[in-house]
This record gives sequence, structure tokens and C-alpha cells, in this order.
Amino acid sequence: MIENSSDNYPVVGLLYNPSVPYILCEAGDLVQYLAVIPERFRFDLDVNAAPGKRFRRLEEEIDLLKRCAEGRIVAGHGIGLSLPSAVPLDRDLLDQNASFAAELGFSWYSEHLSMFLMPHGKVPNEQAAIGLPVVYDEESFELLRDKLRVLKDALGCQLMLENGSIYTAIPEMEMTEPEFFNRLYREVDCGVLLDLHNLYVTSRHGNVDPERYLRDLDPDAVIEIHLAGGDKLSGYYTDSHSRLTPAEVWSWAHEFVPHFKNLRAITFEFHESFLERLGVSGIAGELERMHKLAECCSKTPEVSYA
Amino acid sequence: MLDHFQKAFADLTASPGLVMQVRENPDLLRDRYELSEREVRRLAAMVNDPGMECNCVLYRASRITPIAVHLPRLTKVLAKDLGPLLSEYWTRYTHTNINFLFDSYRFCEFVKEKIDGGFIFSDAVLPIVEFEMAELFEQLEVIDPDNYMRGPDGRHKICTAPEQG
Repeated sequence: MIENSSDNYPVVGLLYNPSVPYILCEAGDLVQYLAVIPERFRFDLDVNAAPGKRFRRLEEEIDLLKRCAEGRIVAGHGIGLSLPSAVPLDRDLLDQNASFAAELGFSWYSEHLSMFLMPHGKVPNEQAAIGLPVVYDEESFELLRDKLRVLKDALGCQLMLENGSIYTAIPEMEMTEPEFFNRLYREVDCGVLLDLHNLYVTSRHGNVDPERYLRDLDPDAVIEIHLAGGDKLSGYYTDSHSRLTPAEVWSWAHEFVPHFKNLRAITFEFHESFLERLGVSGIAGELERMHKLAECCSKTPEVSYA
Repeated sequence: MLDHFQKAFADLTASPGLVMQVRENPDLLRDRYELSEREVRRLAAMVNDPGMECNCVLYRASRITPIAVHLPRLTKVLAKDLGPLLSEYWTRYTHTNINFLFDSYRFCEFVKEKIDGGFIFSDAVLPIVEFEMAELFEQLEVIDPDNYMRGPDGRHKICTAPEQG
């Protein structure tokens, strides 16, 4: 087992997917933590269904997840609530996630600072198919604040929102993304899941100065970081979770992550369809690098910005 | 209004044609949505941003991937007909479903409707769509053992329910 499993250091882990049990067989000692997408463990048959008829749990997959989670920290990483959308909170879905959180013992729970659901859709669950950026203004802030309070009551654990990949910046914003995150942290106690690869994608599209972004973000607000790699699609670099973390992202991680004194986890994301390309040895190597990064962090850092 | 802005943004992402129209005529935004002047300026700038094309590409990639995964033979045999068919399918069914089996099954129904309506495909398309549809049906039976999602005619509701206004 890796040495840095002390409470003083963030844990290292993977976003759970169907290939993760195989990784755990081969390199389980390197994985202290699993981030779990609740929506992957059930079918949502119909948002208009009668009570008790809407969701179908995938019991075999849940049993396997529970076996994988033994001795590890587990947290939720939801994709379905689309909190920034100007649509009412899906209370039935939230209740499902809260029940799953209690069953699995989620230590914290994150969603995305991106819009997946669209208002005025012809059906209640109309989806944008990709995560679209959010307008950072007072109206969006109040919308999120109110929904996050409901989530907090339902889940009873630390909440976070993740920065998305932005391909088209929204002009004339009232706040920058770090300013928006900082306010959510100060006023709603909502932490930041800082996806450094999403930041890399956004910067590749010319929509952010990443170093300035990382300097402007309140370091105390960052509770988890995501690492990943991507590919080009039709000439555009995307967050496809298809490769190991790029060197530039590692460079940012080593410069800034030691300042995140409340950091609890460092997570690598890959899509199961790319397991063969990445290889178990490739993923194990990434996990070892993440442990070395974790060793540079402690909850009471004495380092300061250069 | 934030809700109209979000709806307009999502509509543009799903429709490269609408992006082109708004580039030519930004006033179209005022005709279709209730937007503040700042929201109109935002969207008018965004449709001219190269990243908007990337949003459109990702939208199509996100919708084609589950269909390609669940219907490997059908997507192959449709060949050059696949692109236009998907565009028509996505225009008709703008809403997606995170449970990809449903969307894939619905696409099969759509292809069968085209065949019944006289659209000429390769002779191989009908047996393949029926074969892969039967495979999907078996999987749907497993996740929906009470047949909650099946209407009186036995068809899945996602394929038969009219889009709600």
C-alpha cells in the first residue's frame, strides 16, 4: 500500500467505470478512493412515471461496486441534476441520489457547473447532449444558491461543483468563473472540484488564461481535483478521457495543488473504451504520479506562491 | 431572460443550420426568444466564435456514439444514408435520453418507419434493423420487466409518445 494514506494527505483514486474492477485486481493498492456516478447504476425510465415506477436499479452492478468500495473512500459525482439550468430541481432524481449516497456512504458529492438540461424543452428531461457554459451573473448565482441548499439538506455532506470545458465563451459576464466559484464557497459553502484537464481544454480554445485562473481561485475552496487526457475531434481538442494527463496539466498541478489545504482527493478520469490504449500499466503509472503529487500536499501547507 | 438564453444556446448547439441563419440575421434571436439586449449581443457574438462549431460537432458526436455502440451493423450497412437519416432523426427527436438503449431502439423504429414509407435502402438494411432491434428489445425487457415502458400495442413509449408541448 502506498505510504501517503494518512489523514494529512489527499487520497488518490479513479472515476468508477465498468473497467475499474479489473484495474483494482491489478493495481488495487494504488487506489484509495472511488468517485461514483450514481446515474450509471440505474435506468431512468420516464420522468412522468407513477411513484416508484420511474427508476430501475442495476443490482448486479451495485453489488460489484460495493465490493470494489470496501476499504476505500467513496464519493458521488452526479451528472443528472444540471443545477445551473433554469428548470426546477428534479426532486425525484435528487432523492434517488440521496438514497444511493446513504447506501454507499458517500463522503462528499459533486455536480457540474455546466448546463445539461435545457428549459422550455418539449419534454421535461430534454438534454443539451453536452455540458454548456453558464452565465456568471447574479441571477445564475441565486438559482444555484437555492438549489445547493436543497441538495445540502438532502445529502448531508460536503458539496462541490466542477468547472467544465468551455468551447465558446459567453461574453459580457458580470463575474469570472473563479469569482463565481469563490462566492459559492464563501456564501453557500460549496467547494470546487477543479478539473485541471477541463481548464486545459478551455485554454486550448483561447477562452481562459489558466495561470491567472488558478491564481484567482480561492485555494481553500478546492476540495478535489480531476486529471485526464483528451484527443482532437474534427480539429478541436476535447475532454474525451482518452489519454494520460498532458505535461502542461501536470505542471499546473505541481505548482498550484500544494496550496489547496482543504484538498481531499486527486482523481484520474478515463473512459472504459480507452482501457486497451491506456493499458493497466499506464493507469498504474498515472496513479503513482498522483501519489507523488499528494505527498506534496498537506492540510496545513507551509509553502507559498512563488 | 435566463431560461430563454439557455434554450437559445442549446438550440444553436443542436443545429448548425440555425447557427448559420443567426450569423446572417441576428434579429432572428429576437423573433424566436425573449432575450435582453445583452443576451442578444452575447449569442450574436457566440455564433461567430469558432468554438460554436465545436459545440455543434460535440453535440452530434454525443448523440451518434450510443447509436454506433448499440447498432454497429445497422450504422455500417446504412453507409452514406446514415448522415442524412441522423440529421432528420435528431430534428424530429430533439430530446435525448441518458439511457442510450431507448434512443437506439427509437432510431430503429425511425428507420423501419422510413422503410414502410417507401424509402429505398440497400436490401440488407431491413433484416439487420430487425435483428438489432430484437437484441435491444431483449435488453429493454430485462430493465423493464413490468413492461412499464410498453404501450397497449407493445411498442415502447419512447418511440410512440408524441413530443409534449
